[in-house]
Order: sequence, then structure tokens, then C-alpha cells
Amino acid sequence: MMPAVVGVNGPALEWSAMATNISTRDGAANQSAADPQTPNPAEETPAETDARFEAEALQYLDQLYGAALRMTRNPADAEDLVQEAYSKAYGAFHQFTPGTNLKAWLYRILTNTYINSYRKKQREPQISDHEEIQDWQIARAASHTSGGLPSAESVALDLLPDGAVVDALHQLPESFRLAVYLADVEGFSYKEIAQIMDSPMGTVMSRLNRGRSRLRELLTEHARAIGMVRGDDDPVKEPKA
Amino acid sequence: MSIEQADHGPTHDDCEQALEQLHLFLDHELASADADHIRDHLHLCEQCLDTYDLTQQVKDLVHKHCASSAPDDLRSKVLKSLRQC
Repeated sequence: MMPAVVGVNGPALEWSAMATNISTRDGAANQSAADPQTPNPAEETPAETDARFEAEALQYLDQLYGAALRMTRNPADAEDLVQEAYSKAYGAFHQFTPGTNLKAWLYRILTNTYINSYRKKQREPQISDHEEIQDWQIARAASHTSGGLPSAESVALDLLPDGAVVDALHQLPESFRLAVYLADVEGFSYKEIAQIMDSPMGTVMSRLNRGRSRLRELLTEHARAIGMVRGDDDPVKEPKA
Repeated sequence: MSIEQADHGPTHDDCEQALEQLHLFLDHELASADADHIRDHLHLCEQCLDTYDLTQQVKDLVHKHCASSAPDDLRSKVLKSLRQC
């Protein structure tokens, strides 16, 4: 289940306190709030704040658009979503603590904006936490790769045509799709994904586990459909003499 | 599942633990001691290694194919809408 609907003001205020503990993989956004280079929003003129927003927040435009496109699966809606999210972020920027994780803060606003404004239009079937936990428990009893040669599957996956991976990702349920995108494209930590999606860590793990498993199934099915992987039950064809 | 061996080598429990921690390992979310334990197991168990490799490959495919650049005019559209805030 996606997080409960929340406005920008609530999470943004909450974020200032909790985001100070977030560290990013590359450490780029992990400067100390006590750093003398860190601006103090209370002492800034509006023009300085605008310039800072443009310099710092707009640098994530491509990444936010990429995430918006995976959420909406539609370029026109993705553009609208990014514009709306930036407007909300701009309005709440005074609540953001400089030196904390701006990228994750923007993603949280993007996610909330999507949930509040766009998801209603898309009418995706929702998955309850109850179902996720049950399936997670089933997934825990996961077994090894079964059927076929793993090396053949691996070669086929690398030969998939352009667009096949995006198509498969778009077939995943929304919350799995977003968790996989945040982890695998953006490299966010589980803790950051939990904060962006407003979900417990265990739920994030469950979504990644199930999302990637399903993705692999879809990609292998696709490779099999276009003849790149032999089905387990297919007879072995003898080469003609 | 691997066949349990008399002396040493991977056991069913080792495989189960390795598969449970598959995503944590690939996402660098495990403490180094736990990650070392998984690495040791993968040296011994080819079936687990295959599963790890294929999952890593799916992760890499998503990374390679699923990012997108914003259209050229989106930055100016965003700035224009901010001016109206």
C-alpha cells in the first residue's frame, strides 16, 4: 500500500528533523548544518533564496522527470507532475534545512504530489500491506534459479531489444515500480526510500524483492517469446545434418 | 537447493540465509561481516551464485535502460511556473 495521503507542509516540517541523519551514498549532500558555507535561510533576501532554489533544486530536473515518467508512464503527465512538484517544493523551501538531503526531500514531494494529484486518474489496482507481507513470507522460502541454463538466460537478458526493460518495469505494480526505480536508477539507500515513500523499511525490502523477481520473470518471458530462451518443456531440437 | 555435504560446503540453511539476504547484499545494505559471510557462501555454491548474478543483471539493466532526460524546454517551463508562485 502506498503511504497515506499527506500534504507538503506536514512531511516537509517533519523532514527537517529526520533528514539530518540521512547520509547519501556519495556523501555529496551530507555536509554538516554547522558548515560555515551552509546558508541561513533566515538571513537571505527573497532573491537570494530564489537563486539558491534554482541552483540547488533545479539540478535534479532530469532525475525527477525520469521518476515522474516511471510513475505516470506518460511524458505529458510527467512534465505536469514535475512542474507541480517544483512549485510545491518552492513554496516549502523555507522549511528545508540547508545541508540535509535535498534530493531525497524533492523526491518525497514528487511522490506525494503524484499520489495526491495523478494516481486517482490512473486507477491502478492497489496492493494491501497484508498481501505484501504474506508474499514476502512466501518469498523468504525462495529457492535457487530453477529450470534452464542460467548462462543462457543471462545472455538472452543482455540481448533484449531497447524498450523491453522499460516496458517490463511499467508492468510492475506502482509501489514495486517506484521502489525498484529509486534503488536501481537513483541508488537511494533503503532508509532514504523508506522516507521518500513514507513506508517501513521491511515494506521497502518486500517491494524490492518482489519487484525485481517479477521483473526477471517478465524479461525472461519476453526473451522466450521472441525465441531467445528455450522453454523448460520445449523439446531439444537436434541440429539438421 | 544444494546437497548437504558431510565435511564442509554449503548446507540448506546456508543457501536459505544467502537467498534471504540476496537484495540486502546487492544493495550494499549488509554490515561487512554479514556481506563477507555471503561472499564465502557464493564461492562454494554455484546455484546461489547464479541467482545472485541474474538478480544483479536485472538491477544493472534497470539502471542502464530506465533513466530519462527531461525535454529541453522543461527547465524553462518550471522556471516560468515558479515566477508565478
